[in-house]
Amino acid sequence: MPEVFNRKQSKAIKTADKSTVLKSAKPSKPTFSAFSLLPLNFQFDVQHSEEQVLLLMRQHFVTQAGWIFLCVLLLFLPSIVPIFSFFSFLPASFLTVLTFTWYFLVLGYALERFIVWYYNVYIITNERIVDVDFYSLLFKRVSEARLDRIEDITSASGGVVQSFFDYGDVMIQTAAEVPEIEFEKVPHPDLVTKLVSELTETPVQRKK
Amino acid sequence: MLNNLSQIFDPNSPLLISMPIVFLAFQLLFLIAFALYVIYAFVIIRQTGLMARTVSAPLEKPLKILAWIHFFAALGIWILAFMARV
Repeated sequence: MPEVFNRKQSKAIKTADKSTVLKSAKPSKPTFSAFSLLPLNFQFDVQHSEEQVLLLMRQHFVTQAGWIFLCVLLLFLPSIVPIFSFFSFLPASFLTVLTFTWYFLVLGYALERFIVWYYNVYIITNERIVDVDFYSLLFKRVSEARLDRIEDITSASGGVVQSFFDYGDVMIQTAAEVPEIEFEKVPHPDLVTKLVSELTETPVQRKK
Repeated sequence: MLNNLSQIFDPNSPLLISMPIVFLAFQLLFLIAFALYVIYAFVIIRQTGLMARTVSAPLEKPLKILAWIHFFAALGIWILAFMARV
């Protein structure tokens, strides 16, 4: 397994030589990263044996600030506002259950949001682009397009927050079954556009 | 459990129903609602497994463990609510 991994990694570095974006990139662990060039220890289920992941993206961490802030607020709310005092007419055992339930639901919500963010990934390989969407824990959609079927790439970034944190959308028009693949709120949209452009100029064909 | 109607109706209670009955109804509703959440917690375990099969990433194992902890914690709270007495 390590030999296969090393072979894959060296091939990824060979592909990297053809791209100015990947040339200076070092393989990195995509543990919490929203933008990981040449990610280590990362695979996806429809990956071909000779296919190498060049870029792994998730939505920018800033876009998750809303639910993180909400969870922190809800966790500390009982110590700021005595919300449980409204239920003081309940027996002590009921109040204990209610308190546990409050904190548990907040942490459960945080877990669900984190899982959805973590597994919602956009992948660029030396053969194609893949968009894995989990709309919630119950709905999943995987779209992909081969690099040689990409027709047009557009990146859009607007507003103070997006400009400040350098993130935005990348729309990729394809001639494949899925006419457009959209990478939403990804970090460094200009770099992504540049990388896809370079790869589509010199696509590496998979040896069959 | 309830020997006569006087244990259900209480003219001194603001709701005219004796408070233990109100609490019992409250508990029953809570148990039904939270049972649905326990089922949802189990769905999270299945979905985390499915997601990990689709995308294999470094946090795969910790997230699976967290999903199981979440499920057992939900089950624990349901049991705690079931055991709660007035």
